[in-house]
Amino acid sequence: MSEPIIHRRLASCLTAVFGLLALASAAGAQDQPSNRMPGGEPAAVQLRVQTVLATDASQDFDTRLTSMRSQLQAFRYSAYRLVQEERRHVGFGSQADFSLPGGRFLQVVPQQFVDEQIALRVLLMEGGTPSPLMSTLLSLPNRGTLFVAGRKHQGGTLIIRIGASTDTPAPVTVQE
Amino acid sequence: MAGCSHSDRLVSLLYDGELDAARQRDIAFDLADCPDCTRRRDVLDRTHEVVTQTLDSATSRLDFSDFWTGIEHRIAVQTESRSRGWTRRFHLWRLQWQPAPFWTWSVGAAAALLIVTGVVTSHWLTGRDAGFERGTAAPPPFSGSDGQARIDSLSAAETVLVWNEPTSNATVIWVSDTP
Repeated sequence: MSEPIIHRRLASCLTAVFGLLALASAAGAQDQPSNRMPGGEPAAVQLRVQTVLATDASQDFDTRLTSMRSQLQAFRYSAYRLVQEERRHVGFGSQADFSLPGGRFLQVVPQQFVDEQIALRVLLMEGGTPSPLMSTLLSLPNRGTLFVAGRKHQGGTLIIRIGASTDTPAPVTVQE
Repeated sequence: MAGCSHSDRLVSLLYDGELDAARQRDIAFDLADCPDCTRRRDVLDRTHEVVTQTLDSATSRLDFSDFWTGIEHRIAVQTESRSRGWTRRFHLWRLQWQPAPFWTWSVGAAAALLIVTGVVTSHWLTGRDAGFERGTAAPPPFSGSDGQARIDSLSAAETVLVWNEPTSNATVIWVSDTP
């Protein structure tokens, strides 16, 4: 086999390989949820719901909650334990349902993103009651935090931390 | 026999028609054999007769010929007084309040003071970015400053407290679990 033929075959092989790589990356990009609309506006919200059980039974502080220690200390309990954590990537207008301890149920619907504010509808359901225990429509700053707290559970109080941001998603689920 | 010790009560009830049919029959049969009950019934009969006569004679002396004329006159006077000027109405209003005892003024002053205190307190709480709501849907109860959440509507089946943590810029909705 002459040298030019080898070069041509090598070139065609390389072209095929790069072509396949390009196709694969394009397909991967389509599978990956895009967080931006064509105009640069966020198409979805990264929701992070952490449920913490606060008690006065001990002085234990869950090390997984270190980043929010100062926020939790405002509730003036002596012990805090992360009961569950869930992150969801939710489009505007779509609803995200979170099952909470004690048969409770949290529903979050991102509504719109205006002036770096994320409008959310938040419903907290409890038991078999059809009407929500609490329903609110609010606007959180991007990467802002909302606490819904006060419900009793296992001798303590549940503190539900809801974080919302338009940053790139990183799905994580922690369940005890 | 109904028993003479109960004659007063039973005969009175019979007379007023307060007994059931069976009881009425028993008492009526026994009345003839019981002197006390008979006497009691006679007293009631006589009392009824005297009262009726008195009422009849008193009523016959009353003159109802001007009754409706008097009512029409009263209505006309009240209508006229309403149509008079504001000075007359003020005078009537003042007369209405004149005999009011001192405590009514005290109660009024206390109520006014409470209302003013409530309004001032409400404004003060609003200024401190505090919200409190219970039950049905409410007007925007809470608007945080920069970096904090703005609540457009909030409704809850339980008592709800809303506040901002100034150190962390976090908004807290406290859904009370105590009855």
